[in-house]
Amino acid sequence: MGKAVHSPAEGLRCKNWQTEGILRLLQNTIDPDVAEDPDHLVVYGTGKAARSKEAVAAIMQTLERLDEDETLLIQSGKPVAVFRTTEMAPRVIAVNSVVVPAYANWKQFRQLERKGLTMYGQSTASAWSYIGTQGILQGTYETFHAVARQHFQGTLAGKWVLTSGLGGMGSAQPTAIKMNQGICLIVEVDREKVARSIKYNICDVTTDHLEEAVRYVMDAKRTRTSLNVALVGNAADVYQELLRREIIPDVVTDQTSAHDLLNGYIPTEYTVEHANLIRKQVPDMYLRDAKMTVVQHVKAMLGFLKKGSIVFDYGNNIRQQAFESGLKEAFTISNFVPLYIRELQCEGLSPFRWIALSGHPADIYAIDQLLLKQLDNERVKQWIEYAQANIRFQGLPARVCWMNAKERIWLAERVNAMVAEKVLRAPVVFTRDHMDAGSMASPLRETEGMKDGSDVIGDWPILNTLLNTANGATMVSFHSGGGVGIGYSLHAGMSIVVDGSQRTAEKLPNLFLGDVGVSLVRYADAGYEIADKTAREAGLKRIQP
Amino acid sequence: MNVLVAEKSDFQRNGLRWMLEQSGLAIERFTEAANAKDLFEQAFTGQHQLLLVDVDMLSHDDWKSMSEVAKTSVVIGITETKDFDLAIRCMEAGCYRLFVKPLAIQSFMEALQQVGETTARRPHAKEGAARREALKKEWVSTLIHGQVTNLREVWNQAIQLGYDALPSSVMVARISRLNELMANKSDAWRRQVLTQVFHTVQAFSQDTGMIATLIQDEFVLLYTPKKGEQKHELVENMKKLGLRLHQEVKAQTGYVLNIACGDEYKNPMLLYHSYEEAKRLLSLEFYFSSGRICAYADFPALFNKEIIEEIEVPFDEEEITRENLAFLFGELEKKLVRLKEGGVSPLYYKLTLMYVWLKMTKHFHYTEQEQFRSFLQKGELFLNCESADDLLAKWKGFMEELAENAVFSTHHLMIDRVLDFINANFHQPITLEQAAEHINRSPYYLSHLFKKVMNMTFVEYITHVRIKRAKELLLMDEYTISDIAASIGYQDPNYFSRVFKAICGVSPKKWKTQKKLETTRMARSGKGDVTTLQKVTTYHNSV
Repeated sequence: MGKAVHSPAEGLRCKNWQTEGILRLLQNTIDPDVAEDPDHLVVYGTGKAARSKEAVAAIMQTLERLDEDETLLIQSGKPVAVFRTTEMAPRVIAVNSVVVPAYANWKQFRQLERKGLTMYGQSTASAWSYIGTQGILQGTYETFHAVARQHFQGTLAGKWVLTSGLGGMGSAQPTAIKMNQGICLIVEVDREKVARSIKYNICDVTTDHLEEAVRYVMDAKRTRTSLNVALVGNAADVYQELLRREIIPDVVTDQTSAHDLLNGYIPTEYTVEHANLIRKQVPDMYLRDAKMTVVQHVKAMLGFLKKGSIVFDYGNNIRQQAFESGLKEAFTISNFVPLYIRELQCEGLSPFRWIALSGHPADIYAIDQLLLKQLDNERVKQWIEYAQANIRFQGLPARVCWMNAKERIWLAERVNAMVAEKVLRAPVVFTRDHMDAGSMASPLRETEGMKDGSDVIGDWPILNTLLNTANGATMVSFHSGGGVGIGYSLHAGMSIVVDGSQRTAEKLPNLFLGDVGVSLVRYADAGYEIADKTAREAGLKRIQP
Repeated sequence: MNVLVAEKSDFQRNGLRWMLEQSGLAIERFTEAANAKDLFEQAFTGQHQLLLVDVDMLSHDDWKSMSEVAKTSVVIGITETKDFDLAIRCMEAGCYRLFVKPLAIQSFMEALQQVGETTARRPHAKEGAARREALKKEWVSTLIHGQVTNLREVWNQAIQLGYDALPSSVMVARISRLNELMANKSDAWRRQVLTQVFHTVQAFSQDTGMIATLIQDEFVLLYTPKKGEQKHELVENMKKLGLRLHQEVKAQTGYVLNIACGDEYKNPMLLYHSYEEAKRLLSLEFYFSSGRICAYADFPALFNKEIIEEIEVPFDEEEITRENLAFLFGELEKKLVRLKEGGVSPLYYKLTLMYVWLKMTKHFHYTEQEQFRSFLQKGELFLNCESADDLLAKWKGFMEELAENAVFSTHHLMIDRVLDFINANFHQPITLEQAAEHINRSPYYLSHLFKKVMNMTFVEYITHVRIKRAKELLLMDEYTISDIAASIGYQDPNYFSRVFKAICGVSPKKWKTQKKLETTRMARSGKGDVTTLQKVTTYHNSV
């Protein structure tokens, strides 16, 4: 068995790079440059990296002492025990936020949390593989790329997208649309968010006047120039008015905080300041107005759909809200996952990421260079070039890219060789988001509208976790809740430290084929022919009783 | 190549010089040192590329300096003793070669030639440092002026410069009241001062890990956050560093720095916001006494334009009266405090003052020309003031001036009396002292007041009155030059003629002839016109 080429003498706190890699991942997720609220260990949203500061210290101490045939178990962000295993086994196994299904609701969960028995870990927060906003941007880019590919011959040039919401998630839209050469008219009611988008060069121009905004869009459309226009206004009002004037966008979507009508969504004729006052003082009145607005909002989106626009729900639950508020036909609009993402996932593509443990950007640039030179994939190339020029590294330098199993194995093996040859300054961690149906069971998003109706089946992420453990990922984790809340999803994470050793090289093919393979098998099992074809091409032995 | 030879014996030094001349090296300057003190004095000027050093002259402490010198120059050691420890010491200090006396000429020559080749290939250390400095300046300039278009390029340059993390905040420092201090100094002087301070700033930056450059009159320092440093810690650390810089520069150069820190922008593409904020804060220095360290985080409402909506018109028209000047001044001081606390740009305060001044000029100056002139003069002063303290002092001065103008009519009465005195006595040799005595004021006071009210000096005025009278008398034909001179107070006719010529451009006689000629010509042409008119009238009548 080959040993890791980077010896502990090179500034390691742990006994080997496998545990050192995991330790650095944990440190990275709670770094102030990465985490939203490092003081409370909140990495993003409401997801925490560990139960408490004491738990963090204990995990770090344990990792520092962990031998290469030992495994640390973590129960919802708290280290519980070290077991003797084997050198091939994972070094860390974690399970987060899981409660028995009958009790899997927010009320019960919060009670347990208050007692200090569990914590909410979202997805990559408690899997210690969060890398900042790069992932959101890349996901949005892939979605609009898929829109362009399905409807507009691969480019959004000369097409305009009407959308709304310049919050944390929504801010990725203008950039992603621009990367696909399109024009974006984004509506946002909060003037401060609009000003921020201009200050941070997310949008190019802002206006309060619909006429002016439309003029900008039409000029850009005529000249086929990319342009991001931020219009200050209420999305529901603007959508209705555009429809009334018969100004029909090519693509319509929405990323307002419609999932939370009281704390996020703002009813028509409310200013942000007024909304803050009313939602506190008269929440029932606020909700009534918000519901009326959301119905009008979705009605307008349906109107655009009838007039020929491409319209989709972008995961903010706006259809469900409108449906609950009385708009029966709200679900005529489709969700972005079955429309655009599922096809990619059936081809084995999902968000893959790698993190340079050296902390030096040159390592990521070297891997970028390898991809640019040797991977014949225009989509990847376009993304890497854009990312190099525009995306700032938060914490440890990292790169996100959608890749299939074959590409993952190829890249990881090459990087392992680069680490061994000391072309890179230190080992690299390969990890992924929780997104494909093999690693995520989420009937409101990732597994919505499965062909065979298996939306709520929760077996697959567990199979994924177990298989990744068997294949020796450095860290495997199983979670509940994710971005949709307790009771609504089960998902799995995995990371491997590529340290340049022969042992790692031997693990890589099985590990990545297994991880992506579970997803392909799950889609194939649900009746997706492309997935079945991809699985067969990848050499997976699918059994159909 | 500049060569320094350090050798105790003259004989040996001459021998080395001969060998250097024979070696074929292109030697531009040859410097000699006979002891270690001279050696290091010369070597630390950093101008020598090659040093031939008799290492036997070095004491224990000198070896450390030797290592420093060997970093930038090639050092060849020469010794009399075949000592292994000495050889090790030379290696550790970074000597290129060590020769034992007597020197083997051939191998010594070969070594010199090798040095010649390597130094030709290797750029001069000083040039390398200058290039690095230029690259750093360009890099910093790109970052702070928002010209970053590709993050990878920023990183590549950072790696080239030896940085392994990118800066996230900008500190800008400027010598307080530089313009005032340098008002009567040459540009070269100004540059010298800036360089002097910059050396201190640079030493500070090397010590603290900040990246410093001088961009025009400003010292720009970039702060790179430490691993795991949170935003509030960063603000505190920057303020501490600012204070330290302030103290160090003051202690070492005597100059006071105004220092401002911008907010944190981790994305290099947005770092220019931090620079702009720091610059805006520097203009806020106007509000404070000099040398204060400001951080953007302390002024959340910095340059809040909405405050303009809240600002009321400074005064009612009726409030601007002579009696109210002290009250008006107090109100303007209060306004300053409000604007300062609201984080409003000093420009607005200056504009407010100009507005008030414009209104006041209408009350205190009678002609439109006076109003306009006063507005321009004072307006310029307001705009150029570097600090609120200065401006308030000046404003107070203007107020006092206006208060003086409040007795404007008294002044006019006084000057009227002086004018009457002059008109009555100009035919005599009167003096300023006599006039002052006439109005019971000091000659200095009168001179000052006269100039202010009449816009010319007492003597100028008398001369003009006298010349005017002289012209009248000249045209009368009845008086000689001597008579005229005597009648307007000039004892000496020759003196009168010269003054007349100085003022009118011609001598009194010539002036008189010219005037006469003009009058005759005008009379003639006037007659001709009448004739033509008569003809035309006659013609019309006949038709």
